[in-house]
This record gives sequence, C-alpha cells and structure tokens, in this order.
Amino acid sequence: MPLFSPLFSLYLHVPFCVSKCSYCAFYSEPLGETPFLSNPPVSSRPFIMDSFISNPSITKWLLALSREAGYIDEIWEGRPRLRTLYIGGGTPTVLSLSQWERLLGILEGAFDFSVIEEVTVEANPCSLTEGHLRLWRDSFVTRVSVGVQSLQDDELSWLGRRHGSRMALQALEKTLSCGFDVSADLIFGLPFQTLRTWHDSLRGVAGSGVGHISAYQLTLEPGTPLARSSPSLPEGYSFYRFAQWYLPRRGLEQYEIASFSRPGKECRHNAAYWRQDPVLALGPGAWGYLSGFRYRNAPTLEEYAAWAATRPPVAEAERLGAPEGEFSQSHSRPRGVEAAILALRTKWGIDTTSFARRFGEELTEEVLGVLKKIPPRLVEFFEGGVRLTSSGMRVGNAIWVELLELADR
Amino acid sequence: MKQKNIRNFCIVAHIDHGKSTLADRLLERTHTVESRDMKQQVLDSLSLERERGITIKLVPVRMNYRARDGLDYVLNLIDTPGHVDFGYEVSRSLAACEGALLVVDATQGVEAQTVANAYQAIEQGLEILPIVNKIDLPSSLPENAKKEIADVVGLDASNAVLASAKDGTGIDEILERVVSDVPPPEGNPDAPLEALIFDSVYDNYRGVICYVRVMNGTLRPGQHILFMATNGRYPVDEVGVFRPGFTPVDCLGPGEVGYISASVKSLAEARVGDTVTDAAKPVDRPLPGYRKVKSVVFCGFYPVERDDYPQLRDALEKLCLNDAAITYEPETSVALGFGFRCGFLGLLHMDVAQERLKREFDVDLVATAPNVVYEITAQNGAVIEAHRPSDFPEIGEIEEIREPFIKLSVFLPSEYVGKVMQLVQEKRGIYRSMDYLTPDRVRLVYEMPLAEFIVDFHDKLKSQTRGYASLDYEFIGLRPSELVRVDVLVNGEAADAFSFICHKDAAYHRGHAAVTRLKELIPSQLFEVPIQASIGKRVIVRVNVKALRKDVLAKCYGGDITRKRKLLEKQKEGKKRMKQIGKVSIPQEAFLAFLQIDGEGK
Repeated sequence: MPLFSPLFSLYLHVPFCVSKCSYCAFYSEPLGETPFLSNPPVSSRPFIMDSFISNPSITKWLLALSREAGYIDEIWEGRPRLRTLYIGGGTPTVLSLSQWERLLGILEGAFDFSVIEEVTVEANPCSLTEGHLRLWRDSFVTRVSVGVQSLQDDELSWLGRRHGSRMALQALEKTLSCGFDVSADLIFGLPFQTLRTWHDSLRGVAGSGVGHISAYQLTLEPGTPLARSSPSLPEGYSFYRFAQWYLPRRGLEQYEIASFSRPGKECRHNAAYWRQDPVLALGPGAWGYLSGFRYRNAPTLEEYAAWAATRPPVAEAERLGAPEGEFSQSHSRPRGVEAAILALRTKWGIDTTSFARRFGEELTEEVLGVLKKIPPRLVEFFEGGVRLTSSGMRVGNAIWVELLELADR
Repeated sequence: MKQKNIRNFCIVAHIDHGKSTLADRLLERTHTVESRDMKQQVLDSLSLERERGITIKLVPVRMNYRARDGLDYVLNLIDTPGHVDFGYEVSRSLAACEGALLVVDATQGVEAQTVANAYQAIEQGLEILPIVNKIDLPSSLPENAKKEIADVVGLDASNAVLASAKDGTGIDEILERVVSDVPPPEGNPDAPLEALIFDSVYDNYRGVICYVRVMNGTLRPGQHILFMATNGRYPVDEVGVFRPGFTPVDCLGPGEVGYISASVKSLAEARVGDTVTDAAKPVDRPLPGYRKVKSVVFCGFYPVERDDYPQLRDALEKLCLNDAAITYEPETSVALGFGFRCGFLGLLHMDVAQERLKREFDVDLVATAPNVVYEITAQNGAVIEAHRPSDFPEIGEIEEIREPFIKLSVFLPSEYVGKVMQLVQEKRGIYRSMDYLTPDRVRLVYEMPLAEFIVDFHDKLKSQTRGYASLDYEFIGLRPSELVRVDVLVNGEAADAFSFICHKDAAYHRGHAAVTRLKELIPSQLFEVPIQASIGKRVIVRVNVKALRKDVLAKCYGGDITRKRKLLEKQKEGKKRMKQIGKVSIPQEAFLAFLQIDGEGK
C-alpha cells in the first residue's frame, strides 16, 4: 500500500444544532433561541429553518469553509479524488436549502467526485425536510444517517431530543422512499430503559426497512449536562447482547462493534477509519488522518474562521495522539498495534498477509501470539486472518488492552 | 540524707482508677511542683500519654516532706506503666521500691489489673498501702471497694486510706502512711556499688540517661562503672535526682533514686533491669530479675509513599534510641513495597510506636495487622522461628508447631458471663477458673493463644460487655497447637501474600472467608478464575470469579479513535498497576485487604 493513496475520504463537520442534546460532546453551536430543556415539547412537524437562513454564524462558517476549500487545490495540486464523503455534525439539517446549495457547490469545486462510492449526510428528524431530501437526491448524496436514537417518547425527551418516535419513523420512511441508503442511530443503556423498550426501538427501526443500524451505548462524556447530573447508567450487557442476537434475525448482521447492516450496506466511510485509510477534514472540529498522523481542525468556529482567513487550517491543525516519528515511519509499532485494534472492531478482522506487509512479520507474530492466549470463545482464527467472536466483541476493551501492551515493547 | 529518712514507693492501679491524678496531688502537697506550674498530670510527660490517660514511660520524682514527727523525709515516687505490655518494666520499677500504693476506684472496685499489679508488688516483697480513691463521687461505695480488696486481692484493707485525688481528701494521710508504713531502704554505703537500672531514656545532647536505684555502695561523678549485662564500661559524667527535672548531686548513696549520665551512646548498652557496678571493684553477681525483653507482637510498617522509605528508616532508628524494646528488620511486601517488620512488647506498645512515628517524626505509615511468632520443630529436629506463613515448612516436614499462650483474667459483671465465655471459647480459650467476687461480679480465668487475643479480642470484649469488663493477661510460654498454613491459589497458582496460619478447626471457615473476599476484590478477567484455599495439597474451599462479560463501549469513528486510544491506555495503566499472579491481574486493594491495613485516621 502506497504511503499516500490517491483516493481520500472526507469528513465535513457542520457545527450547528437547534439545541444541544444532553449527552452529546461533539462541537456545535446551538442556534435555537431557547436554552436546553430537559423536557422539550415533542414537535409534530419539522422546524422551519427560515429563521436560520440569515444566521450570521452560518454565513461566517460557509465563508471560512470556502476559504479552506480554496487552499485544497494548492496543497494537493489539483482536486483530490474522493472515495467517500461524510457530512456530520452537529446537525447538518439545520442548514437551509440555499445554504445546502452553497455547501455542495463548495465541495464540488474543491474535490473530484468522479469515483465517489458513498456520500452520507446526517439528518435529525426534527429538521429534516422534503426539500432537503429532493436537493440531496439531485446531487451526489447516496446515504442518509437518521438520528433516531429511540422509539420511546419518554426516552427521547430524557435525552433532550426535540422529536418524538412518530416523527423519527416518518423521517425514515420519507428518506427510504426517496431511494437513499438509510442508516438509523439507536442508543441503549439509558437509566430507565428496559429490554422490552429496547426491543421495541430495534423492531421499529429494523421493520422500517433501513439497511443499516448503528447501536451506541450511552456514555457520560465529560462536560455534557448529562455527565454533570451523573445519573447511574446500567452496564449495558443485556441490551448489547440482545441487539447482537436480534438484529441478525432481522437481516442486519453485526459487522463492527456498534454497526449492523444488510449485506453490502456497510458504511464505507467508517470502514476507512477502521482501515487507517487517509481521511481529510473540513470545517471546525473536523478530524482527519493522513499516513499515520491524526489531526483536528480548530475546534471552534471563531478560531477556525480566523485561521481560514489567512492560511490553510490544516497547517495549524492539532496533531492528535500520533507518537513522535509515526508520521514518517510506516512500520511503526504503535501504528501497527492501533491498526490491529481497529481491524478487530470489524467482522473482517486482521488480514494476516496485508498486516504483515504493512507492519512486518515480527509484529504480526506478536499480535497473533497475544490473541492465541485469549480464551478461544472470544477470538476466531480463520484462513488468512483472525477476528473477534460475538462474545469477543463484548469484551473488546480487555482484549485490546492486551494488544496495547505490545506497543510499549 | 540519711537512709532511714528515705522512702521509695510506687503507685499501682487499674487503668483510669486515678493513679496519675493522685501522683500530681502528692507533688503539689509536697511543693515539689507548685500548683500554678502544674500541667495536668505532670508525670505523663509524653503528650500521647496525657491524651490517652495512660502512662507508658516511667518518670520518677523526688519529694521533700516534713512529716508530723517533725523530721524531713525524701520520698521517691516511681510511677509505673499501667499496662500489661510493659510488665517487665513494671517489675523492675517495683524492684526499685520498698512500698506501693494500691489505688482502687471506689466506684469500680477491684479490676483485673488491680489484682495483677498487687500480686507483682507482693512478689517483690513490697509493703502495700491500699488507697480507696474517688470517694467524692456520689456513686462511690468505699466499703465495697475495701471488701473487694480483702476478698479478691486478699490484702487487709481495714486501714485503707479513703481519698479523693480530685479534691485532695486523704492526701496528707497518704504521705504520713508512706513515712510510717513503708520501710526505709537497707544497704551499705561502703559495700561495692550495686545499682538497678529501672529505666533509661535517650537524650539528644547527653546520650543515654539511666534511672537507677542504688542498692549498695555509692555512685559519684568520675567513677568508672560497669554495666553487667552488656559489659560496657563508662566514666560517670553526672549523677542527679529528679525534682522533678534533672538536678545534679554530688553522690547517690544506698536507697537513693536518681540518674546517671555517662555518655552511653545507645539504649541497648544500658538495658532496663541491668546492674551498674564499680568497674574497679565489681560485685560478684548482678541483681536478680534481669532479662532481655523479647518482642511478642509483630507487624509491618510501610511508608504510605514508597519514596518515603528512607524517612521511615531514619525515624525508626531514632525511635529505637528512645525505646530499646522495639525491634525491626527490613522486609518487602507485594502490595506495599519496602518496609520494616517490627517487634513489640504488646499491642499498646505497637500502637504507641506507630503514633509516635507519626507525631514526633512526621512519618505517614501504614501498619499491617499484628501477628505472633511461631516455633516449629521439623521432622529432622531443626527448630524454626516462623514470623510469616512463608517461613513454615511443608506440612509433611512439620513435627510440631508451638504458639505463644497467655493467661487471661477477665473481671466482669455476672450478667455477661455467658457471652464472654462464648467469645473466649471461639478464640480457642481454655477454661481455668471462675470465681464470684461478689454476687454480681465474676473473675474468669482462661488460657488462650496470643494470636487470637491480638486480632480483635479487646474490642469484642468491650462491645460484648458494654465496656464493663476489664482484663489482664500474662505470657505463659509456647505451647503445641494444631495449626495449619492455609494457602490461597489463584487460577491454580499459589499466592504467597494471601497465605495465613490458623487452627485446623478454623481452616475451612477462615479459608472460605478469604476466598470470598478475594472473589470480591479480583476483577473479572477474560476467563473464569478459580480461587482455592488449600492445606498442603488438599483443596478445602473453592470459588470462581466469573469471566468478564462486557467491556466495550460502542462507537468509534474518526475523532473517537484518539480518545478511545487514551481510554484504552488508561485501562492498560490500571492493569499494569495490578500484580500478575500467573495470568491473573490482582489489584493492590486485594493485597491490602489481606494485610488488614490499619492506615490513616484509624
């Protein structure tokens, strides 16, 4: 594998929300006039986005974005070819149609979409409109990830979501009927959630016909209102195990720790992360990964805009977590260990041959050595590779910690 | 001072019966200390002692007293430690006296230590003056107390002094009775020097200061003296008396109580009970009763911060300059790192040492649960002193195990007899006798392994009897016991740190408690972990730590990867801090729990 692949994935971060959800730690600026309510009224129809059309923050963001896009050409000497694009947030659907047109225009101007495989947009049921769907269908968007989170109204309101279950299901239906690949996000491990309500949410979403489900466990992220109220959360074992049992029966196989899909509907963009493929970042708070070095753009709109006005934000990006020297060292042990850990998140596991080519026979043997000492019900060796079993996926952290010790040797 | 005008006496009493207050009153009445200078209880000079109301270190004092007969007397009061841990020191102090005041609380009557102390005084041939104290209290029953002195101790109490150290009642009478009843010391000033060291202290500037009672001969500055037990020879720098501070005098003659300073560098060279004689003209044999004190209770001291090991070592060295009865040697522990195994005269002694290290030397330490030393005869005839379970030979190689025993006397209200008997029997106590002192007070005598006593016996006794029981004990030597070493196996691997010694009948129960506790403390691993307790090769109890069932948090995309990695790194560090036994990671808390750490803020 060459040091720089000619194909990139791109992550674009839309840092705006109507209001922050209580559990979310992603960067976004709330646009709503009302502060966060623990029990917001469940709206029966999507928010009208008109009030945000002339929002000065969004205008500023779009301007900065177009400046960053302008540097792309300089840096890469031409328009980089994209394999996947993911537009996340924040809440991309708080942008109005005209703002969306501007955004898509910026992207088309800066990148080459000729070999694009997948373009995902995140959608929030309360701001997703038919206008959005039409506009996306007429552009290069192929996939919509809907933030359903739950199909229980009380759970949704506890999470600070501004939509109810009906609205979430409607959003799925509308999106599916427009012909998109649709993914739904669901959250488990809420304090008062029961296996029964979890089943109801899984059943409703699987039954809507989506091809992909991401099932997350609720975690307390530092700095969120939820973490400050420090509720006691369940361990989550039974919810997770139930999802692992139930979703495959509905045709959605687990292909990664948190991801389930119908055949061929796996998220290619996320797979790029798990394969350590090159990912470019665009927008404030967006992160990228280039040849062993992970970076993040300026985390606030203010800083980002200031940078973009004078120089490419990527030049100032914060380098995250990459040990010294990793940038130039293709056989770096820490990078290899991370590659192994990420690969073991997925059902494809570690491909021994390609792993050995990238990181050397020695590390490959060591990784396999560690995995051979793990009880056999947790790991599965197959011709040419090794992966975690369903039980293994449930205790992934403990297995990865064993691997992480190799990075220190 | 003429010998016939000297009176040497001490005060013995059960704890809290008012010994120190009485001593203070005597000093005040004889103007040895003016009442305005009087700290509460002058004689308990360590702040720790004042706080606890107990005397640990002896501080003698010399009082001048003009008696009603018009003559001037010197009264030497030698205070004694009021705790059984210091039984040997008590016996040496008693040996320095001719008389003893036996103080009994008029509200409590005779207690366990009253009897033990009175008997020791009788054994030393002392004249005993019974004092019934605290008669000012409304609940006092002086006649009952006198009756108990007669019935229980067996002393004539008809002429006991009724006193209140608190308000001063009876103090004059006590002083008169000391003069009239306590015999003057005997001894020949021209005979070879013979002086008993009844205590010695370490002074940072002058080195060791020996507290002595001259039996025969005369002590003078410049004289060359010989310590008979250690064979050390030193020229005397200074001799003096206690008024109550150190006051130099020209000489100390027979019957006198005072101190010698002779540039002795360590307490080990001037041991309590040793005889000081003239190096040029020594006596043939030392005074009777000397023995080298032997530690009976042991525990580990470890610094809270591992880097503070040198400070702990220095502090222990200095503490031992002040207290020769402490022994220590370096040891290491899986859970605590480098520290010291320390030996003490008893539990209180251990407590006091720990407390002094904290207060006087500012050392933060953790102490492990106390234990005793076992003596083992192996089949090949070798005798092994076992300080810890790992010192025990394999079970097949053991001929006999002996453990230290005590004779325990408990005085208690009769309503608690059933409960206390049950408690003592649970602790492997062997019944010896039961006497009704009065219709509602009982004395129980048992023999019991010291190991059982030091764990938590005193606390349990207090809670079972709501504090109404008092106890006293004495060591009665080593006895064969059916003891076993119980080993703990984690995933089939022996874990030394968790082994323990117990009676074979308790092995299952204690083994069960141990593995159950470990089950709670060892986190789930990727595989099921059996924890077993065994005696030799025989497994007596087994529990399992279930395999880990969930340890993953779902999502991980681009921006999460760095964070995720940090979390995993943290988890890895946590795992690193654990100790690996075979394939199993065991957290430090598990080891600490087994040492029954008695740490900060106990």
